[in-house]
Amino acid sequence: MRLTELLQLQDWFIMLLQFNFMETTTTLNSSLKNQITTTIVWARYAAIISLVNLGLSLLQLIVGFIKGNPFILVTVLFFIISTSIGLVLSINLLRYSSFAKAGIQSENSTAFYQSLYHLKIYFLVMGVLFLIAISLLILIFIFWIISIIITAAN
Amino acid sequence: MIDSNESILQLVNIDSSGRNLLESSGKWAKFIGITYLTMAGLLLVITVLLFANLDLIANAFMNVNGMSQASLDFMMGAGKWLFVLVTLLSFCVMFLNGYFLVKFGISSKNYSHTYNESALSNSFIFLSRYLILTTVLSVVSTVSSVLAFLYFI
Repeated sequence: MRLTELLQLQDWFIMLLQFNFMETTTTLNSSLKNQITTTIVWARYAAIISLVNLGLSLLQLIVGFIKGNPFILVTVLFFIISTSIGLVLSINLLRYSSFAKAGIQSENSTAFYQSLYHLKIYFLVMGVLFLIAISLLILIFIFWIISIIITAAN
Repeated sequence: MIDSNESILQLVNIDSSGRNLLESSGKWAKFIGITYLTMAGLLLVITVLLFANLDLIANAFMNVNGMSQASLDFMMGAGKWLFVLVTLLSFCVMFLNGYFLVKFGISSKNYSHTYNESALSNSFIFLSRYLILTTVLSVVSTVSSVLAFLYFI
């Protein structure tokens, strides 16, 4: 009798474990697909316009070089930094757009996850850049306060 | 029977890995959004402070740099309102960017915790609004770059 109870308890325990580890999935319905398609379209537009902007910056750099810009080294440095950041952001947005489109059109979950991965990278890069900018601002503020204190002390 | 099974298997599903990806995107988006909202708030405070002490600032500039009367008149007249317009526009852009990103972050977190379909739907709605605003800003930036390029060439 005890063994039967024990076995029953074991069955209940296994059922409970199965319930806990049961994967909850959301199937994308047509309304969700429409909303994702809107993000796909606008992500593509935003990425393409950013790439056009980068092309324009390159053109401006070339014209500045031809006209003999005295600060060409600083301009080139800023161009390299801004272009690399812009390229990473635009490429990730474009990849989000293309993978999400492929995922929805061919009903492929793997492609859709790839798109979410690129969206994550896009926000991660932006977030890290914001963190760097905030740290720099805080450093500038601290140095400004220190300089005021030193000036007042003198 | 085989066909219907295949069609069920081929549906796009979001499981735990998809939810994790969406949630981590949302976390970063929320952080960026909060930063935007803080910046918008700071911009508003600084503008109000500058606007309240505009006479004092203009006089200080006049004493230090020897600002001409014409520049001072512009600063106290049309320049003042131009400054307010530019600041208000910047405030609106920052606030909306921040609002959409924070809402996207909250909705995606909500979805990954509750598996609620409407939360997922909301997260994509706010993401698309953010992307629309980004596109509009990129267009404005491109047009101004082209105009500046044409002017200087």
